[in-house]
Amino acid sequence: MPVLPRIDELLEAVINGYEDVVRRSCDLQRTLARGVPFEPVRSILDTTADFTRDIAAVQLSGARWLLDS
Amino acid sequence: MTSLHWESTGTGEPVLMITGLGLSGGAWWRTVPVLSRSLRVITFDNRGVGRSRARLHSYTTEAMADDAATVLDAAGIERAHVYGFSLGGMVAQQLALRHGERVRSVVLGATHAGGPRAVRPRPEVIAFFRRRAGMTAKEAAQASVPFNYGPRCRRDHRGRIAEDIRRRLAHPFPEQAYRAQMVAAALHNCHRRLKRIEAPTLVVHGSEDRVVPVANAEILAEGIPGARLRLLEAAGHLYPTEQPDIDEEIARFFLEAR
Repeated sequence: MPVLPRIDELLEAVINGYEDVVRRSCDLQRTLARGVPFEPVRSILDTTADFTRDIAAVQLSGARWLLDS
Repeated sequence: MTSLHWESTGTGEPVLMITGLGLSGGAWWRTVPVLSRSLRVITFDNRGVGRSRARLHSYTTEAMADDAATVLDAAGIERAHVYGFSLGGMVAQQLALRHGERVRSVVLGATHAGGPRAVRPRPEVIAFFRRRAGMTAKEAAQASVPFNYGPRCRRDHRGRIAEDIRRRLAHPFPEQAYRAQMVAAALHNCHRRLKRIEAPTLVVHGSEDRVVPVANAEILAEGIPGARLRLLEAAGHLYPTEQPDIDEEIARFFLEAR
C-alpha cells in the first residue's frame, strides 16, 4: 500500500519549489542586467532582482514560520 | 548602488568573517590577528554600515548572504571557510544554504536559526533593544554592557570592555541601517533547512548569553548534520572579548576542515 506524504512535507516541498523559482528568476534578471550595456536599464534590472529576492524572502520566512508553528 | 568595503589580511586558506548587528568589519579586531597567522582573513562592512553603502534599506539575511558571496567574488575566492557572529551567524547559515558550493566550513557564533522554535531573550532584554533606538551611540554602548557581557567579564575584564566600546564608537552606523538589520534578524528563519547545510560546522556559544539564549546553539547543533557544539562556560554574548583563546580553537577547526 503506498505511503502518503504528510501534509507538512507536501507544503514544505511547495515552499522549496517556490524558492527555486524565485532564485531562477533573480538569476535571469541579473544575467539580463549584465548583458545590457547601458544605464539606467542595467540598474533597474538589478534592483528588480533585489526586490524579487527580498519580497520572496519575507514570504518564505512567513510560510516556514507557519509550517513550524 | 550598493558598494561593500572589504579587507584582506594574511595568506593561506581564505576565511570570510561576517559580523553582527550594526558592527563594521573592524569589530573583528581581536580575532583577525589570531586567524591571520595561518589563514587569509576577509572582513567586510555589511551593507549600510561603516564604509559600505546600500541601494536599498530593506535588508534580509538572504540579501546579506548574497552580499557576502559578492565579497568572495571581488576577492577572487571560489570557496572559503566562513565565520559568522550573531546576526552574521544568521547570514552565514543563509550563505551555506544559498551558496553552499562556496562554503568550505562554517563557524556559527552566538546565533540562532530563527523561526518559532528559536528561544527568545528574556523580556528585559527585548525591552532594552526597543529602548536602544532612542539612545545616542555612546549611551547605547554603555547601556548594553550588562546584556552583551557575562558577569565574570564585567567583574574581571573592564579594560577589555572599555576597549570594545572605544572601537565601536569609532565606527558609528546610521540608525536606519541598524533598524533594517533588526528587521533582517527578526525575519530570519532557517530552522527547517538546517539539515541541508553540508559544510562541516562548529557552533560556539557562551553559556550566559542573554541576547541569544544558549538553547539556540543546541537547536543549531542538533539540526545541522555532523555539527559540533562548543559551549563557553560563564561567557556572555560577546564571547570573543571574554574568552579570546577560543580564536585559536576556531583557527584549528578551519585548518582541520580543509
